Amino acid sequence: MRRQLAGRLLFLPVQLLAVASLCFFLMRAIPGNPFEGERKLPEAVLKNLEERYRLSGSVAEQWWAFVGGTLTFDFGVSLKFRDREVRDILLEAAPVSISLGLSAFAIGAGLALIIGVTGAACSSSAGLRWWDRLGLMFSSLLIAVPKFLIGGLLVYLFAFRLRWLPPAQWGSPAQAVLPALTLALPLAGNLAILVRTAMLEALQSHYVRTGRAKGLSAFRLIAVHTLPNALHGVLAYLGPVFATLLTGSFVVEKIFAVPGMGWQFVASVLDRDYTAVLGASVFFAAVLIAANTLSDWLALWIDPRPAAGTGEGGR
Amino acid sequence: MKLKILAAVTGLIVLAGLFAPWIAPHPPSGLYETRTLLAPGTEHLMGTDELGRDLLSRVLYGCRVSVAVGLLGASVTLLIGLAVGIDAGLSGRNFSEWTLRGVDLFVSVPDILIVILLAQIVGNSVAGMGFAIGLVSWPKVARLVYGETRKLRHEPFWESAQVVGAGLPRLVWNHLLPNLRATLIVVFALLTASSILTESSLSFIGLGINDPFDPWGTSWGTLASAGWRAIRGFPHLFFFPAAAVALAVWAMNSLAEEVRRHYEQKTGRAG
Repeated sequence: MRRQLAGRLLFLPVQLLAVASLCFFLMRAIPGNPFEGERKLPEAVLKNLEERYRLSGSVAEQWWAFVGGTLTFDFGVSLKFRDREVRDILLEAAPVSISLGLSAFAIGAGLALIIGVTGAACSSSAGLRWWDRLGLMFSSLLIAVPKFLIGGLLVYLFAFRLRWLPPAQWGSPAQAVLPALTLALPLAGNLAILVRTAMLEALQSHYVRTGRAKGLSAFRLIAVHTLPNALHGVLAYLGPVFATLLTGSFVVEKIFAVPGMGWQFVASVLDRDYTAVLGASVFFAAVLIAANTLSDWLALWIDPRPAAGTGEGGR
Repeated sequence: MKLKILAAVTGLIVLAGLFAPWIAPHPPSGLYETRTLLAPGTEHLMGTDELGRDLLSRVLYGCRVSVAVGLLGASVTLLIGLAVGIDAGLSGRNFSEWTLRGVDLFVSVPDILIVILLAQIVGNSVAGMGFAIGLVSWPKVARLVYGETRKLRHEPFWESAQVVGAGLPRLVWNHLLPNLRATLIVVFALLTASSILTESSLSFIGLGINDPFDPWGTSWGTLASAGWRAIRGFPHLFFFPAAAVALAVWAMNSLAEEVRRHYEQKTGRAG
């Protein structure tokens, strides 16, 4: 198991390098030149400009310089904000997105646990099955509805009609409620279905039958005996969950004018801000690779059976 | 029963897009100077926008664009995925299998990030968005087809067909594809839904389709994006197109789920 983890760790830089290179070449292939809008520039000035923004030399040389910069977390100067380092822009935007993402994760995971667990618990009793059906319908609806519609509904209702919360901007806790909810609801839909399926499977186990036979209360049976076992399976999905949180931030940060990574990335693409787009892409990839690795480790730490190769175990 | 209703809803959405020019009550760019920003009413069922254009007609024309991107994206994804998956599954270690391994390197990059960059290269048109989405999302299909192909390859019917001398095209066409049919139908519906969702989200944030001078340049996402600016005073401009996306995606997702259940019951297979 330790060798497996070490192997994966060595693989990480290769992965990051591949992603960074892909983004680099895609960015170079996009038509348009950052300096074409301005007045005709003298040769020498253009040359200086290209040097400053690392656009001089052959594409191979530029790529090499970019890879070197990636390893030292140095992406050069932003093309749009001429006197700012991309690194500083990223470091300013990242905490905003991270706090938004984490609060969305807390809300989403909480909702998903409630919907998924109660749904699975109610699914086998004839009188309560409607609750399970309702939960499933709610979840599938949350998955289908685009984030901008969820955000639009929340803003229209709570900001414009009821006037309980501010419609946009970032800074106070009240301003974080609506964006976090918008990001959390689709996540809750996805996770709730996963939790429900895992719970249904775990409820079939022998230890549940034993527990029921020796007279455990339904609450104790579910909360103490079944839930921890069911969550193993769900943990493996934490990596992709972080991916949806990050990409979800594109839309959500745009709707609520939140100055985070997603907003920054979209603005940079529209501005053809090469250096900032590349920096943000690599940063996104690095965060996701780290999240994937962490969630793999967490799953292995909690349940080492798959790595150790010892069959089913105490089911 | 549920299957039929969902199939009908999905069919109606596709038909509405297809026949938009004939069923739209007003021309989508027809300006009524005296009827700007009307609330939904009997004359204009979804109201009008700031230039006096009928929103229902614009949503119908937007349906054509959104559904086209969805179908194109799903088709490109499915075709590349099938080709690579079958090739990798049938022959041993070859180019396709190595390609699949190579693609695993990028598993951690969110698809949408690459779609955004690709769409900037190939252009923010219907074709551009469709191809960008297809070029990014095929590995999942390839992996699925690869797994199924490897399983089928060892079935008795496959070996019998080989024994009686069936060539590769015949094996693929008569033996492989019919066995994959149920899976492919489900996957196609899910892919169409996710392509529509991706395109509308990108158009909403301004990185997707938006060309007011092109009859194919306004999708549901574009309309929602324009409506967003006026949501406070004229919510209909935002909510109708946004709800259209939700309805289409929900109908297609649910249809896929029902079709899967239908085939499972028919073949008595679980999972």
